[in-house]
Amino acid sequence: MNRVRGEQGFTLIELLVTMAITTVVFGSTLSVLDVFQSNNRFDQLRNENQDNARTTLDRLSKQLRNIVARTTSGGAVPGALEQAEDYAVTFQTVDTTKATSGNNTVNAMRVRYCLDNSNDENEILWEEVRRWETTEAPELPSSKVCPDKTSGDWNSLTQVVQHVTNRIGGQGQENETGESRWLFVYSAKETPEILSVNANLFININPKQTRPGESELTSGVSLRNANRVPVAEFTATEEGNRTVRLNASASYDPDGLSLTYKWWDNGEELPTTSQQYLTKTAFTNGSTQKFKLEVINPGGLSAHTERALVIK
Amino acid sequence: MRRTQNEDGFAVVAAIILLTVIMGLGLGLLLFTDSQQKASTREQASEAAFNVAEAALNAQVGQLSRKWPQAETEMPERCTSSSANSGTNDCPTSADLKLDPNTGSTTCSGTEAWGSSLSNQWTTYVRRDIGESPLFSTEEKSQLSYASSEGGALWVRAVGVVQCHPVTVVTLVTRQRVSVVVPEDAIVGNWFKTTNNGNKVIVDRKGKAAEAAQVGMRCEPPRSRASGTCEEYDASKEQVSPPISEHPVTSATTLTSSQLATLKSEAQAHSTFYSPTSPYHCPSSMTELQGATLSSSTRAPVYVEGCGALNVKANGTANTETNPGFLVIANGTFEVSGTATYYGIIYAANLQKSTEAVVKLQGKANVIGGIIVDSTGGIEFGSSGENLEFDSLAIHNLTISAGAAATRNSFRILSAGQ
Repeated sequence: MNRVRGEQGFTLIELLVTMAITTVVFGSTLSVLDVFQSNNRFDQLRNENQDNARTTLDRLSKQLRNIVARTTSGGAVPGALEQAEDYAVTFQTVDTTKATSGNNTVNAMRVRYCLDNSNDENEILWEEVRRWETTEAPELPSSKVCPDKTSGDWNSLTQVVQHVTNRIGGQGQENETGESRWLFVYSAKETPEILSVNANLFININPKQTRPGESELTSGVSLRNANRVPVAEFTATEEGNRTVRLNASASYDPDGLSLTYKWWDNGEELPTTSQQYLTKTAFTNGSTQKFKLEVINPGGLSAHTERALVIK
Repeated sequence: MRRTQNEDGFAVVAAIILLTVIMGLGLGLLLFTDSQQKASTREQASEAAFNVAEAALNAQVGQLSRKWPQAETEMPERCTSSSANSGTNDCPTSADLKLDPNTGSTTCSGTEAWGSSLSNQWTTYVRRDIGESPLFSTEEKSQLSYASSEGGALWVRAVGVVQCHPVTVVTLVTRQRVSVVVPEDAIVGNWFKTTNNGNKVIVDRKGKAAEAAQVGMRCEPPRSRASGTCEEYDASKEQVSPPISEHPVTSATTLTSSQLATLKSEAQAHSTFYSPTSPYHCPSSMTELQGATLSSSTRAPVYVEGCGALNVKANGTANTETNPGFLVIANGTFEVSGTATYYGIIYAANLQKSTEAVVKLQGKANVIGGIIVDSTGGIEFGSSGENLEFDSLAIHNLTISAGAAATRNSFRILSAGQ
């Protein structure tokens, strides 16, 4: 009799053993697949997150390079950044995503990057953008909440990086080498004096562990458009014939640029724009002369100082 | 037919479908990886191109700082990496921009927005600011590539190309000048004398000013050891008007060696440097002593070095009353005779440390401004009339080049079409 036509089969024991083995093998395979898929998904998210972080730092760098120093109806404003905090930075930059419209001929937009640490397990870096079509930029929002969802403050709020760990364990925490974990580090304390910005992003590359595995991404940008206020200093020395020599050689521009000088004597502008000037008229004995100096740098920022001199 | 030999079934179809799915997944993964790779390469090229563009921009600004283009011939329509020269014009040289040649590519086709080939690793354009807006506009392209007026500003547009990817940056550059502080006196020296006995004003230390300027004499050592004086003139004949009442002592040197070096290079840049060494020559006319006009109130200095006893016997006028000049005699002596008129400051650094007359004004030669002689040198006035009329404007107008610098808040990264 042909075996395939035989009616002899497997015993129940054989079937049960086979099923048990099959279950174990399939179960193991599925478990491995599950772990593999989970790890794969995790790796993908981690890579994606790091890519996002890199992209964000690149974008931040480009925006900072193209920074627009503020001007108001009153003229140029010192510095390039609008707000400089440890975990947030606000500035105006050229909007390269669209053409100029309205009276905003500079095509400037306001950008704020801030770190939201309301969720200890998932700090998020936000990018907030505000555009306008008026000549002057809208007022700087007063809210320092991150993200700032106050109506009218920002046109768009975007989560640009997740799983940031800069503030994990508390603000000001230092890393293993003792360096600060501030998101933004500046070249000076006061905003008008800042000439460069360093951004340091710590990314959690293993969120499942208690102590996160970290990756640090950094970028630094020199703010070429930052304009600092010049320093006005001068001496007024009485010379022969009751004339006064005005000397502003102690005045300077912090960026080393040449200055324009304007002088006043008792409110009347003197006919010179020189650094040094000898008054032409003989002043009256005992009179008090109030001299004023204004220095202006090529970027349009000015400073002034006054000095009184009693003529002997 | 045996069942095992039965051809019914879907094994082949299933296998083909499975293979197709796997191939699709593989292809998708390949495309994804490829696009990621391209994006990464593009980003890297963009960053590198920005760095090249910024380096070219800085090099061009540095070149403008050394020599500001005053005429059309000084600046070509564009400067490129392939035409980088050895400094015959105002373009950056190869030495200014030491870039890795491997970052450039000569195989790129096409041009950037202003027409430079993408095979050029870098290109710079210099254009006069039209001044209508503090911003760069594409209208600047048709402007001239120099700015002769002192207040003129120039836009520098730099393009960097890496892997055929161009990045363009611009900034506005302005000239920098700083005041030169010199004593606000009619004459400064170790001594002076007049060689005329007539009853006439030879030194007018008041000029058009409300108050007379002083005469600063060092008098170390005195010109006349017998009398201990350093002012040899006939006071009774009012040869110095008004009569000298005070004699402030001034320092031995007026300008520093670095200031002299800057004045020399500025004069060389404006073809007003004179020396007997080829290709230069010593001046022989008042016309040659006139400083190049930088603005309505500023002139480039004239610098004379190594011409020994320079004697300009000439008529004519150098500079103007409203735009006086600055003549620097680094070493040697300087004598003017005839009916020549010089508006401005004559400064003799007296590097040879002469105790004799370093500046002589003879005949009807007239200086409207002031005279400064350093160290132990003296000034001798001649015979026929007024030789010096003090003018404070000549002192107030004294400036020295401090190069050129990028104006703050003018740096921009341009979009592709700009």
